Parts: sequence; structure tokens; C-alpha cells
Amino acid sequence: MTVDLEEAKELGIDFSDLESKYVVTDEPDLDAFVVADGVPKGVPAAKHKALRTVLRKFLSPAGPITPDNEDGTSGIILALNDDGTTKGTAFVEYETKAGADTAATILHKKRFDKNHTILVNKLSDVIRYTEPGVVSDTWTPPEQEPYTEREHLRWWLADKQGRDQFIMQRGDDTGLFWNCKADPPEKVAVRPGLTEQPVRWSPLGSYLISLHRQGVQIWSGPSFQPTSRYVHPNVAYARISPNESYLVTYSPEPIQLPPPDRRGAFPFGEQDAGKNIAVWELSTGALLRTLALPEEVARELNPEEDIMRWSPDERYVARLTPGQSLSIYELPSMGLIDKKSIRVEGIRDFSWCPTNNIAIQGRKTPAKEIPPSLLAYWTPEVGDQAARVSLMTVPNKEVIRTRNLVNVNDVSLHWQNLGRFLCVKVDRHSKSGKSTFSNLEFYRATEAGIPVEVMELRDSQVLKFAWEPNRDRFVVICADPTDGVSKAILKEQIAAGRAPLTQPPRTIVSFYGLEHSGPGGSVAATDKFVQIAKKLERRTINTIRWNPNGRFLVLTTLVLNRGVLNTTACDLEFFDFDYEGDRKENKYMLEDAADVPVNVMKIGQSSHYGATDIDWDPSGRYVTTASSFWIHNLENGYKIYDIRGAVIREERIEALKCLLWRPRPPTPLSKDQIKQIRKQLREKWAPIFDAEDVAAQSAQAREVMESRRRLLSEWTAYRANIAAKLPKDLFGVKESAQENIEEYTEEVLSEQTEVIE
Amino acid sequence: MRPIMLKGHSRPLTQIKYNREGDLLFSVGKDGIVGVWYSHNGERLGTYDGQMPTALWTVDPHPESNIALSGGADNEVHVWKVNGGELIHRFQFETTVKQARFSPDGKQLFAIIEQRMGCIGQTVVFDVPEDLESFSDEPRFLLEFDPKERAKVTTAGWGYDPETGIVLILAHDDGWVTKVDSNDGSIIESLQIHDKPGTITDIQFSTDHTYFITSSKDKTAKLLDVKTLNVLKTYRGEAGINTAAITPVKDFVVLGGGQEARDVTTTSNRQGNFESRFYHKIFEDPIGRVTGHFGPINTLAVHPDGTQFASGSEDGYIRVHNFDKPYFDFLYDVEREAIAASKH
Repeated sequence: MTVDLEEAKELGIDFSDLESKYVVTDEPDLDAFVVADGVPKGVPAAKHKALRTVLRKFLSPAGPITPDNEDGTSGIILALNDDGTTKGTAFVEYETKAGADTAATILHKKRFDKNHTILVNKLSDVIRYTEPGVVSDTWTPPEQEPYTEREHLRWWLADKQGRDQFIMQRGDDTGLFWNCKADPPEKVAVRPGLTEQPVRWSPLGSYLISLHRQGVQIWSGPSFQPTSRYVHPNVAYARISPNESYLVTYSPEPIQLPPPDRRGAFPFGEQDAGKNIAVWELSTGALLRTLALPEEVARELNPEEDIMRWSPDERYVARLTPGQSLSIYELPSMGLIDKKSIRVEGIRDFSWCPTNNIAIQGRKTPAKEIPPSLLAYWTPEVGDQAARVSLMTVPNKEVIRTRNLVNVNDVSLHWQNLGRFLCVKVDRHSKSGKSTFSNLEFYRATEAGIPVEVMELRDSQVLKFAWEPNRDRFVVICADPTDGVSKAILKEQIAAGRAPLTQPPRTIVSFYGLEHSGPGGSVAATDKFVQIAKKLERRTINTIRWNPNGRFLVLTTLVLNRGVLNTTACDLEFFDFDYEGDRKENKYMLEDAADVPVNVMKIGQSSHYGATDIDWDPSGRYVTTASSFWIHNLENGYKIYDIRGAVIREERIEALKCLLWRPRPPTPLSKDQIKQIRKQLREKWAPIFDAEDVAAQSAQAREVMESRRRLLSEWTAYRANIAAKLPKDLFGVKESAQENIEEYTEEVLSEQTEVIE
Repeated sequence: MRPIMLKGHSRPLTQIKYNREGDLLFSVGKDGIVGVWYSHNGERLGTYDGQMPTALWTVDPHPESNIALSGGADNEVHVWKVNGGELIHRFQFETTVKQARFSPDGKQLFAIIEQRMGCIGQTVVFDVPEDLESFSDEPRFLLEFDPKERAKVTTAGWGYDPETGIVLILAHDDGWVTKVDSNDGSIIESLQIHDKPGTITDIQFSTDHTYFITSSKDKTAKLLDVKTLNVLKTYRGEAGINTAAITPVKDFVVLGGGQEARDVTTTSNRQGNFESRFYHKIFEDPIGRVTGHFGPINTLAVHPDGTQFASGSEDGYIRVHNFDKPYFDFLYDVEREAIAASKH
């Protein structure tokens, strides 16, 4: 149908609304344009074509750009001065609006060449914001937020009695408590329904991390409130760096951006979509960078292991792509060192040296320089190539030591906490491949040339290895090679599809020392470098826990797997490695262990049925074992022991999930101050502490007595009140229901009749 | 405490009761046998075989000990003569009888009828005739709870309110208790005392019936006042508690239970907590335990003179324990103080 406009006008029909709605303008679609600033200035006309080509290449990743025409009014349009040289600005027309949008997000502030960084803005934005009134010309200072004092992060260290804290998750509750030795733990705060997932302390104890569907909550301060939140949907992992500056979160679900109008406080932008790992700065809450985790890496992820591992000074954080490369990022820029990952064919695992403060190759870093970090990694045997353990410095990526190994099944890396030694546990197989055994190789990391000492354990495999903190003694758990019977049963049971209910595998535990090594003394290179001090046979021990200060050790058999519950092996054994008796008289040690810097004695024993966790408190004064609901639901609860294994307190708690000691930051006292305190301990401090203990105990005993007295008198009053109201013949029974029936029986044994005349 | 083992049931015990004098012990089990035993030596007086060989859930001797009742899965309550076992009366119902007890004055009896097969659970109260023989099938009153409003009644007992007299205390599957007037069946009060789903498994009374103890699957037992239904004390156990009793003479309570039979697999009996646990009635502290059963304890009874207690278990045994001297001598310091003070 056609409409005669003239006719319509005559009829008085008003089309103005339709006209304004469907008006066609000659102006091009400005949404497809961007303004690129920072283009090289002063380029003469002769070179315009070349410049346009380079610009086109630079800008096309965002989308196709309309073709250039001869007079320079289409495609990439250069703004020119009167003399024909460029002004430093270009207008670029993309074929679609989407192209322009993408360009503004991904190409903005991108480096063009050495001297030029291009700023890309949408033309429509430029027009909108340059229009008068949209952006005020006068600057008004932002309103200053009132200062609110934040709670002290390390408040718990100021406790008058120097007590330690722990977190206890039980049922739906998560509670923070003071350890009160034998008395019930004193509650600081309990948060019901905080989370059902495990919570975690930061390395120095300032923060508690809880995982939620939307992200991570960080709890701190005496009020135990969430002080910050980090949005990361379906987060599965969150760890704080060693000095508590950074936070790493990981979610198996790649980041998906909500629609633009609903992003609100969503911290991620376009460039973060599809990534899994986020690195945050804790002091500001700022997102530093997001990283993608290759899917094959994500699949093999061990939730207990760190995804991103920090150098001890937090200057670097590294992530492994097994079999391929090591990516080391620099903080706080979170850029890769030299802008690329380090390619190491086959790399299986790596470990940072736990301190920077060591001499590398015998050379101590001068005080002015920042000491480099050291890390160790290993690669397995591939074809003809031997397996290899390497030590590399960071950031110069210099490999300072490598060692080849053959017939290798597996390797694990154990740094001593002072960084003086690296123990490499090499699980090997014989040439025929029939038997497996272990080597322990000790790298003396601080000496020139990094000498290596090898200890072969001929016929057994090392299951666990643990250095004593601050010292060079260690404990090893080996599989018992004679434990053939139980293995066979185990195999049979697994084959039959039953959960193995038998004993855990039998093990042998050995204590070793490095010869002539004192705390700080140097180690002589002799063939008797590693010496055994004691061997414990016929055990089922699977867990080693050194006291955080060294010297004391506890060994136990934990229930590690859900559904596998051993019923008898739940013993704890406590040892002292610097026993105060005469070492020559110490019959507990092996006879030929005279040269070993170990004077070990078993100082205690205990047991906790069904224990699943064991830990020392951060002061090293107590040991706790817990039986967690997460593993099994029998007799859940915890026990606290002293250093000699005497049970100080035990409590059964329905559905106890975990008990986690709050870590402590290192002491600010100098070595001399500590020495001074030690010296005065007996004379000056002990009497004060003892008096406090006695006072607290008697106060408590009084309190218990008082409460019992009150309960008893309440009960007596209650009963007296009832009794007064009861009738005498309650239920038709007379007062004395109890009849005493006494029967006298006379038995005539014999009767004689005698007639007396 | 060397126990006397009573071996007369081939299947799990469900209830044991002493008569008022404590010379006889009555037992029922899932094997359908009613046993009567001399409590002082464990000799069996006899069995009552009148009921069908189906699981029996409840037994109760009349306060006069002339007659006793038993009830179970044959949907009947039998009243029979203790001396000779002659059947006096059969009350017949639609479904299983879970619990039946004579009132402490011997003038009434109630039966709890299980909710099943479209039948709403019932609580039926009958009068006991003076001659103890001519029973009537006409109940004094009958109570039904709408399952939508209140969970079924699992067990019940007779309490004594010093002001109103004898009342009926009903225990529900959802941890509630209801106090009912024993004359007309009117509900006086309802209260939740155990956390959901705190199925109340047993309810036993003090000698004067003015307070009682409830045991529950929520792993607690609670002591309640009949008059106010106030929770006086709470005792925390480790596994589900199937039964609880108050000891006369000494201020203790006994709790029995253990891991449920279906959860006990191949593990040792240590894990099952198959033990009678003694708590101080007033201070709520655990003070002792008696082990020996190798199955959960289903029922406990304490001699009315407080001289012995008996436990009946899923393992089919009744163990009768005579308390020895240390039991009677055990006193808290504050109790000693109070006794000394009252003598002066």
C-alpha cells in the first residue's frame, strides 16, 4: 500500500512522530570508530602509507578494519598538521561496533614500539565526554572517608599468659579458642554455619581463610569477623604467601563474566575471562593478575599441594606445568621473569630453598645486594637421557648444579629449613626392575661446588623423610621388606572390592645424624657422612612430627584414608634427641653410634584410638591429636599431651572436624635476648609462673566446689518441696512397705527318750 | 561386680522390669518369650508362653505382683497370672503394641499402639478392675495424634503430679513429651525436650513418680519434673541412648545404648560403646561404666531398693549386677559435707 503524503497532509494526519523515529542521517555510525592517540608524530606524507599498514596490523587483532581509500578518508584516517605531517592521532573505522569495543579494551595502552604506546578510545566516548556539562570543568576534591581503626592483626600474641589459640570446626560451628591446658578451652568466638569446608590459617597466623561459593573470606582480629572478601566463584583453593603479603585463589571453574550491567563489584574484567588462578595483594585487596591453568594440569592437581609456590622472600612465585615448563613470576608486577616461562623438558617437581640467606656456591651475597633465590627441580629418565636433579638460581636462571640419576622411579625434594642441605630421596629400581629401594642424596647447598653425599638403603624403600628443624638430623620411615603377609592380605582384600581393614603396612623407623654437625658447625666430608643412631622395627608408624623448635619428636600411626580404620595401631611415641643423660651410657642407642650427634631416648608413650591428625602447638610445648569426622565418625574428639606424652586433656566432641593451631610469627627477640631469658628461667621466671598456676588451679577447684554445692542444695530443696506435698499412702502403699520377715526355724536333729525311774 | 548372666532368650531383649518388691525380674524379647526370674540368684521362675511367637516389645508386672501384662507384634496385650501363667484377658488392637504399663496405683493401664499400615498410632487407657480379673475391652479414653501435627508416640509412662495426682507422660518420635490427664485423656501440656530427630527411646520414673528420665537418639538423656516438665538435668552420652533409669538410694542415673546394630560391622566391640554408663544425677558427671555386652543395650532396670541393676541387650543376654560396697560408699566431697552438716 502506498500513501500519498500530500493527501495525508490534507487529511491532517500528523506523521511527525514516525518521521523523527525513522529519520535517516548521513552521518556514519560513530560506534564503529576509535580514536588512537600516541601514534608517531611528524611523519611526512610519503611515509603515511607505511604507517597505515603498520597501524592496521597493530589494530586488527580486535576485528576487521574497513579498507583504506586513496584520499585517506576511510579505514585508518590520520590526523594531519597543515604541513602534511601526522599530528599523532588516528581515527580508525572498524567494520563492526564489536570490533571497536574490543579494541578499546584490549589495545588500550598497548606498546606500539619502543617509544610509542597507543591509547585507544571509542570515538563515541570521546564525543560524549567532551560535550559541555558531562564532565565538570571544576575539580571537586573527593570526600575523605572517615578513618576507622582496624583491629590489630596480631592481637593474640599479647595474651598475658602467652597462650596459643586454635580453631576448632565441629558440626556446623567454627570456633576460635584459647588453649587452657587441662581446662576446657576458653572460647574467643564461635561462628555457627561459617563454612562446611576446611578453614586454613595464613602462614604467620594473622588471618584465617574460609572458602565459600562466591569466593574467599579472610577473618582476623579479636572480634573474629570477616575483614575482607575476595570474589572468585566456586573457589577451591586459597593460600596466603609466606610473609602474608599476597593471596592466591584457584577455582576449577574458569572465570565467567556476568553481563556488563550486573558486574558491580565483580573484580574481573574481559582479560580475566576463562582464567582459573587469581593473585591478590592483601594490603589493598587489589587483583594483581589472573592466570590460566592448563586443563591437563588442573586434572592432576593435588589439593594438598601448592599450586603457586613462593620464594621465601615473596619476590617470586612459581607454577609448574608438569613435563613442560616452570613459570616464575616477579612480584608485585606479576610479570614472568624475562617475559617467558622456563622450558624444562619433562620437569616433574620443584622446590624453593626455604631461605634466601645462604651462601650460594660458597659465596655469600653482599649486604647491599638482594640475595638470589634458589630452587631445585628434577626431570625423569626419558629414552637414553638420565633423570636429573638440578639447582637453579632465580632470577638469573643459572643452573649451578645438576646430577644425573639412573633407574629412577620417583624423586622427592626435601630442603632443610635453614637451607644448608637438600635431601633428594630417589626411589630406584634394580636393573631387572624387580626390586625397589631408595637412595638419599645430600646436597651441601652452601658449599662451593655443592658436594653431594649419597646414602644407599639397599633393600628397602623410604616412605617418609623429615629433617629436624634448625638442625641436620633426620628421621626416615622405610617399608618393612619382611612385611609380605599383610601386603598379600591387603591386595586380596582390595581385589575383592572390600575396604582394607587390616593393619596399616609395617614400617621401620630410623634416626640419623650428619657426622660432626652441631648447630652451626660445619660438616666434614668423610665417607661416614650419614650415621644411624637408632632403629625402631616392627612398627606401623606412618607419621613423623618434629617439634617446631627441634630436639623433640613424636611418631604415630594416623588413620589417613576414609573407610580404612585400623583398630589397634594408634600408639604415639615421644623421643628426645638431646637426652640429658650421659651419651656413652645410653643403652637405647645403637652400639656403634658413638660418633653420631644424637643422644636419643624414648621419653613417653600414649595412644589415641582412631586419630587422624597430629600436630605440635606453635610454641612446641604441647602435642594434639584429633580424630576427625571427615575421615570417620567413631569417637571423634581430641587429646592434648605434654612433651613427654602424658595426656593433659581429652575431650570427645560429636562431629569434630578439625583442630588447627594458630601459627605464630617468628620471635622478634634477638639470639642474645633468648639466651638471657633461658639463663634466668629457673631463678627468675619459673617461680612466677608456678605461683600463677597454683593460684589459677585453686581458684578453679573452689569454683567447681561452689557450683557443686549450689547444685546439691538446689536439688535437696527441690526434693524437699515435692516430698512435703506427697500423701503418706502414695499409690496405696503404706509407709513401711519394707517388711522384715524373720523366720525362726528349729530343727530337731535327734530325739531320745529316756525313762528315768 | 560379678554379673549374673541370664540366658533364656534366643533373640534381642526388648524390655526388662522389676516388680515393686524387686524379688522378680520380668523380661521380653524379639523371640516372643516372656521370662520371669528370681532377681537374687538369676534362677528362672518360669516363662509365659501364651503369646504368639512374634517379637514382644513390652512387659509390666502389676504393683501387687499377682498379674502381669505383655504386648508385642501379635497386636495384643495379654494379662496373665504371675503364679501359674494363666491367661486372664486379651486386649486386641489393629497393629503392634509398643509399650504398655500399669499405673503405679495399679488402677489403670495404658497401651501404645504403633502407627502403621494406614492406622494412626493410638494411646489407649483401660481401667484395671479391683478383682484383677474381670477386664473390660471398653477403654477409659483413647488418644490419637494427627501425624501432620505431632510425631507418633514411641513410649510412655505414669507420672505423679503432687497437685493433680497421676498423669500420663507420652514421649514422641520427634523429641516432644506430652502430659495427659489420666482421668479423661485431656492434654495438659506439650514440650520439645530433645533436638530433632531426637526419637525418645525410653522413659523411666523415680520411685515416687514425680520426676523421670528420658533417653533419646540425640545422644542425651534428660531428667524432667512431672509437674512442670522442666528439664532438670542433661546427661550426654557418646552413641545413641536406648534406655535410661534412675537409681534409688544413690543419686545416680544409668544410661544404656551403643552403636546401632545395623552400623556395627566387623569392628571390635570397643567401638560400639556397648556399656551401661553411670552419671551423677545431680552433677551430671559421668562416674562409671559397666561393660560386658557385645551388642547394644536395649533395656535397663534398677532394683527398687537400689541394690542391683539389670541390662538386656541386642546380644540376647540379661546381665544382673549386684552393687558392691564401693558403689554405696562413693560420695562427692560436697555430698559428704552435706551429710555431716545434717547430722549436727
